[in-house]
Amino acid sequence: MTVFQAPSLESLVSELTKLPGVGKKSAMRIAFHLLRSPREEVDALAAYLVDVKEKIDLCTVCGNYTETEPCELCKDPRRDGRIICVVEQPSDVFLIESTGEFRGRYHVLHGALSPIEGIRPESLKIGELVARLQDGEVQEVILATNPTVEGDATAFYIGETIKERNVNVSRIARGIPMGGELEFSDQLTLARALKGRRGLE
Amino acid sequence: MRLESLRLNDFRNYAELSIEPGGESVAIWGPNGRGKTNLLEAVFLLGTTRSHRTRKDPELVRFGERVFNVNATYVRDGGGKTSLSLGYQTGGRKKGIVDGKEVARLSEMVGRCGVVLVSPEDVEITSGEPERRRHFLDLTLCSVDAVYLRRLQELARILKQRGQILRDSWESNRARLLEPWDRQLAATGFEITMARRRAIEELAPHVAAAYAGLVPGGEALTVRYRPGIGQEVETEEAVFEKIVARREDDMRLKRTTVGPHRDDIAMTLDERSIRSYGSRGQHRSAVLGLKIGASRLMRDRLREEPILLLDDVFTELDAGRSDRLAGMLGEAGQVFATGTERAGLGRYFPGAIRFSFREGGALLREE
Repeated sequence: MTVFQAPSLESLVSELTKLPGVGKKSAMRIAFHLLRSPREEVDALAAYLVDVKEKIDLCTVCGNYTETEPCELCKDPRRDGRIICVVEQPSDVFLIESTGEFRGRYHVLHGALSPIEGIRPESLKIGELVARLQDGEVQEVILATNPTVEGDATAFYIGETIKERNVNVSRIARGIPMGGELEFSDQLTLARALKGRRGLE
Repeated sequence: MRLESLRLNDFRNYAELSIEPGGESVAIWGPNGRGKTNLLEAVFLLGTTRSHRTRKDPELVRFGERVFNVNATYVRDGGGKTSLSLGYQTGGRKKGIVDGKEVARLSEMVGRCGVVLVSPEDVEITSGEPERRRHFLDLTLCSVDAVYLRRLQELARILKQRGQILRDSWESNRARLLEPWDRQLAATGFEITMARRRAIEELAPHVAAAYAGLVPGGEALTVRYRPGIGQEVETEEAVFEKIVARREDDMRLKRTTVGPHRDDIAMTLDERSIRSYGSRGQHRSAVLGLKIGASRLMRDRLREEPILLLDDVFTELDAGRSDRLAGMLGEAGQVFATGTERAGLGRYFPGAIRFSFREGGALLREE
């Protein structure tokens, strides 16, 4: 498929098409935009792309993306270490942070249980969560996995796994459109959902 | 709800069609294969976002084209207008537009215009597998209850995930892995069961009355729910216990044996099973009874008369039943009826706007 008679452009478009939410049309628009952009801007973008892969790693404590070890959120002494909010993805941390409602710490699972996709408990950072409950500082765990059947299954599973520990476990309230994902709910509903969390029966 | 105008573009065999019933009932006749059913299908599609004949959207696009559009304007029973539009491009997904605004999810469009369709294949509802009867009930309930539709989607997902664990026989400690899915199967399954039980309780008297109206002096039609979680199960916890008790069997059979996906609706005439003993005529009347019951349930829940779509119904009924059916529908909402004979339809729907197919295939309104 050679539409442009320029192999480098072909490759760029085909790489861009792999990005989430980017179709063939958008990929071409981005590629042509880059071609028209000043050299410095494109250099900077390319450098950042490499940078994030080189500098960013998973925090060994919470599993979130970080440039420091442990991450800024885990280090921050002003945050309440007695509460942990468990989420599926790093982007969920960002969303909850932007509500300003939560002052505890986070734990990122990197997914949700899904047997059909081969995602088993060992595929998620559940063991790491259990390890964080060892020293007894944590008193409450909020399970803020997505309100999908997979998110609910994950919350149930973690609830069962840590029920013997001496912590309060709550599930984020469904103020979120049902079957939706955290990413799609607006910040207000998310803030309400966090406030209205209930104990996991 | 009454349909005022309908426009089709490259839908099935129609390059372009525009009709304006203005809320009146419509009678369409013409030979088979001209597109009578396609027209009813379009109205059904706007009401349910799905075709009653196919799951494959590309089949709905006119041959040689890539895009179809179906638009309609309606007037509500209490006054006030609304419009629905559904479009599809080959390779894409259907898009729904309600009052000029595109909906984020197609499910938001379901039930905006209640529709009940009766087609010749519906005889399978009373004579076929339980799946047919569940589908009938789901179709009725999805139009009146958006939460029910979500629950059904959840149930399908839960069963799929649970089924995978049942098949992964190499997994150790499968009971522990099943636990979270069993909890959800119990919760969602219980809710669906309650919704279906309530719906059948609402439906049953309407269905019985409609059957008695169609077959005067006939047998008593009874409709009973046979839930797949068991008749005696009264709480979510009890459903969960039952699921847990069946885990070993499920793992051996590699499928889930407790849940609403195993529901059935038992229908009897004077306590004899229609499915086993019903005559062809009894099946037809029972199906019509179910459909009229469904339209009454939708009317009660939506506070809006659904549109009735009768596809070639009268050719299969004797004159007496046809007369009685038409009489019953006279008190209901707008009807779209198709037939191959002009005389029949004209007699049963004297007030309807009449359309017929002319030489060359065009659908024309008769004066």
